[in-house]
Amino acid sequence: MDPAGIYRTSYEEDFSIIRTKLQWAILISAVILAAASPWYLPGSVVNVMALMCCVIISTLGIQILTGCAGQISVGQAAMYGVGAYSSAILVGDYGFPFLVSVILSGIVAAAVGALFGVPSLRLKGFYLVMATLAGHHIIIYVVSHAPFTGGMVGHKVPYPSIGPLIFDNGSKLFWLNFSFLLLMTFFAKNITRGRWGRAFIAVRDNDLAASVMGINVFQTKILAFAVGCFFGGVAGALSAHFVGMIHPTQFPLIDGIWYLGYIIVGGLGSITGCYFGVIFFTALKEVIARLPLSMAVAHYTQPMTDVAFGLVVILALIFDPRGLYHRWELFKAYYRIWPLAYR
Amino acid sequence: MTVLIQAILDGICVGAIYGLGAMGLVVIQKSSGLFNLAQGMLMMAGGFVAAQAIDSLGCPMWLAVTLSMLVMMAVGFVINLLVIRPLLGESVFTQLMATIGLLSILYGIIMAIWGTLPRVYPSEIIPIGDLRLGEIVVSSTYLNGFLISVIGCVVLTLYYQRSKEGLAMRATSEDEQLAASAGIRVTKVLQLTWMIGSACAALAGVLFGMLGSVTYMLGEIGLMAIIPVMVFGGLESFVGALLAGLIVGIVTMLAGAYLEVALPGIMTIVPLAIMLLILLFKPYGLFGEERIERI
Repeated sequence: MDPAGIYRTSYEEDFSIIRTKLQWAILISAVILAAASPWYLPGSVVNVMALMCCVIISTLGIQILTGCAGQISVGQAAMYGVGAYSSAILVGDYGFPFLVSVILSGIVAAAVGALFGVPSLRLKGFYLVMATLAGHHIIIYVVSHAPFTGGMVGHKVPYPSIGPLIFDNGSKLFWLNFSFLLLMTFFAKNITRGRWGRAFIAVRDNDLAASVMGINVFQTKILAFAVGCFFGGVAGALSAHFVGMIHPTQFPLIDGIWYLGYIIVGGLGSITGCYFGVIFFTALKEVIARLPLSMAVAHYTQPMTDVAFGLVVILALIFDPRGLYHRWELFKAYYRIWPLAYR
Repeated sequence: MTVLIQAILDGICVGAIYGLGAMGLVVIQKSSGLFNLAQGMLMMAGGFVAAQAIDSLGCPMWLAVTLSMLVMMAVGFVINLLVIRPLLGESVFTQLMATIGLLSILYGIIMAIWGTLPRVYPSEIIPIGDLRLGEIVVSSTYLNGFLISVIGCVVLTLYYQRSKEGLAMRATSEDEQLAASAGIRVTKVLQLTWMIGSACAALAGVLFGMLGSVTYMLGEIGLMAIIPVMVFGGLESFVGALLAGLIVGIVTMLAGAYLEVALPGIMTIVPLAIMLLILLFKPYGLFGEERIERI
């Protein structure tokens, strides 16, 4: 929402991300504020934020795949795992440089994702959910039993390094993940507002009409799977280097389901919505984990998180199906003319 | 040869249980067109409620099963009232996500109440001994599972075919608007289907638990077993569900008997692999109606 007096006179301007100097100032100061957080926030919070960056990247992928292209997938956690294992093996066993390995992991995940996107040619709605569900379990089975992944023992992952720079503590890893987050958000935003994004939205809204308009529906669906899973793979690779040790049980089906919850609560089809959804749920999780409970009831933390997640998703579906992003837009429209609203 | 026959007999017994579990899903799918991803959690809840009834009330197994079915009926009633009814007529994605939210809530509640300790049932529902045919032994728990599942399937099918409520349910699944204008209370029908579906889940959960133990993993394992069966059977057919259950059960047990040594853990993947193949080549399953999409 632009301030009063700013008019859009061309298509490029209408689709531009940032229009005014004030928006530039807000964006830059927000980025600097976030990047400086290791200096004013405790280490545990910075660790949570570093992992949250990975989760947001992965959620961007599922937002493009499910929110924009309408292909519901519960297999994003498996893609996260594919990315994590690819990077662990490439860097740990074959000595690839970190940056190359992150991109390769994304490409591996994209290839696997495109393969599991093939059923989307014939399947829609919950049939596709079933196919991705099967895909998730098959991928995790392969990962747990293949000879090159370390199986159920797990796989060690070295610290990431770029040239002589080694990212070996929480705040350095946070800066690494944060810069990847900025980069991937920029990619995601540009994909959704470009030609691909328009094709995705056309396929989501009505695939027959899309094909009449000259969009190759099958190709677009596979592309959506590849792009979405690329994001998942990159996020998984980053998280593997952050955690340092990966294991098949770190990628449960429930994580793939949570990603869908993030985009529902954040707002379907919106890149900003991913941030809202993930930050909201991470904050919720951390608040529940830090509630002053006595030791006797501490084992209720995880169950309570699950219940809270389910409740929030159902309440969001019933009362606020357009998500937090929509609320944010309403809020911006409100404060634009506050306190001199003309009625 | 013994291994083969043993695997097939075990597969038939396990498959009947899969079929019963899938029927709970079919009941709900038929009348509301909603795929209930929380069915696995309902099964697990049923299993735990029965175990709890035995532990704290000391009641016999058959009574525990009945109690658990009644409790789960109440749970199904509440779920329908609070979650499903407000979302009637929404998109597939919304309804799926609602059942996912339900899954998460149920899982949290079950974990909070019963934790991660596995429970083992002390006895079977029908006390029959093991069936021995030479070297082949079909254990009593498997036979129990088979008999009760088949009885459950037959009762459910008869109820659907013969009773007045069954007629109402069939009419609703055919065309909601038409059924409503013929004087059928569609909301009542939905309520009833959720109660029946949950009771089915409870029974299947207890039978699943009887094969080994009731654990916090049962929800996911159960769901992964019954989804392929339902998809294979064609989503809306009772006969399809039972038949598909038997086929999936037999194939799974055969895989367990012959491939488990070479590929440990393959048994959990086989039903899903079957489902993936069916989705690719025959998405409407054995007895499903092919829907022609209109704009």
